[in-house]
Amino acid sequence: MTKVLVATVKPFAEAAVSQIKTIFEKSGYDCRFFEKYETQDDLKKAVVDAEALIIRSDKITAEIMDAAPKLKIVVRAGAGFDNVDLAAATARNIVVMNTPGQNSNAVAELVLGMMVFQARNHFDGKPGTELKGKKLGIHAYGHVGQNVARIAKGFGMEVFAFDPFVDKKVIEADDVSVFDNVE
Amino acid sequence: MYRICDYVSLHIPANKHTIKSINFALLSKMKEGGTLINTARKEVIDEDGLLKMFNNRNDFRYIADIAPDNREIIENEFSSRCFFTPKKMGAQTAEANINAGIAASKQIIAFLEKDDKTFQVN
Repeated sequence: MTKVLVATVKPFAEAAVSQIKTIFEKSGYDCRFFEKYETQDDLKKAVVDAEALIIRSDKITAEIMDAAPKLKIVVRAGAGFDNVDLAAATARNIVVMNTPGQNSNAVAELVLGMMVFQARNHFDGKPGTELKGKKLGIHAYGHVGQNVARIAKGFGMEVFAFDPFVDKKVIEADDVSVFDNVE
Repeated sequence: MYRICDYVSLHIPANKHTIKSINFALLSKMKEGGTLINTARKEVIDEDGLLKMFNNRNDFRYIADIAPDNREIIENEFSSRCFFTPKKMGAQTAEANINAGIAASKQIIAFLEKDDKTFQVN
């Protein structure tokens, strides 16, 4: 039975844990959870027989990979993957993946939430300002940026973006104005 | 963009091209009263430049869910102009956990059973 380890210092929400378990059980995999561990040494011991690894912000170094000789794949549940040593993984023939877009609305809602909190002076009772009519610049128009634009438009903000890696037409299709220069 | 926007929200990855790229030279271009939001990566901020910005521009605000290493200095001296969540909070919703957890699980099965490498990053 293929062994999957879900190693998370910051555990998934209970509902997510339950659904991950169900998916692997139905497919005949042995899925274990290793949560809230304290040190990288603890992680090294836990990965010994893992063939597949799901992580969040957990650091997967060459040392961790060397402790997991059967490891074939690491999936970072999230967009950023700078917590995984990609060169070390490639050298060991380990595939690394992320899950782009899956967290993007959550991050975007936090952006707007924090903006309201700051605009209202941390809710200290003094008059603040509104977001409506203000200009928002999105620096990099990926999944999160697109969701920020969508929500900001709901607030009545004027939305701009800078992203040299995204086709201008894609950004403009969201009724977002494009800057060619970040400054 | 930094010159005309009231708010600038960062969504750049941390890599050799972007680490410390949000520096004083760029931040000093920000519009008066501008707010920078960072839910991306701590490393993309030049923290010395950030502190210089707080010191030089009393209209500048910075809010983030990844606090800088000089958090204590900034919070002590400029408390009304900054906010940092106690922990990185961006993806901390049940919905995001479920979405990402399910996607990760399905990607592992697809890779091991069908050699599907669609989301490979290395």
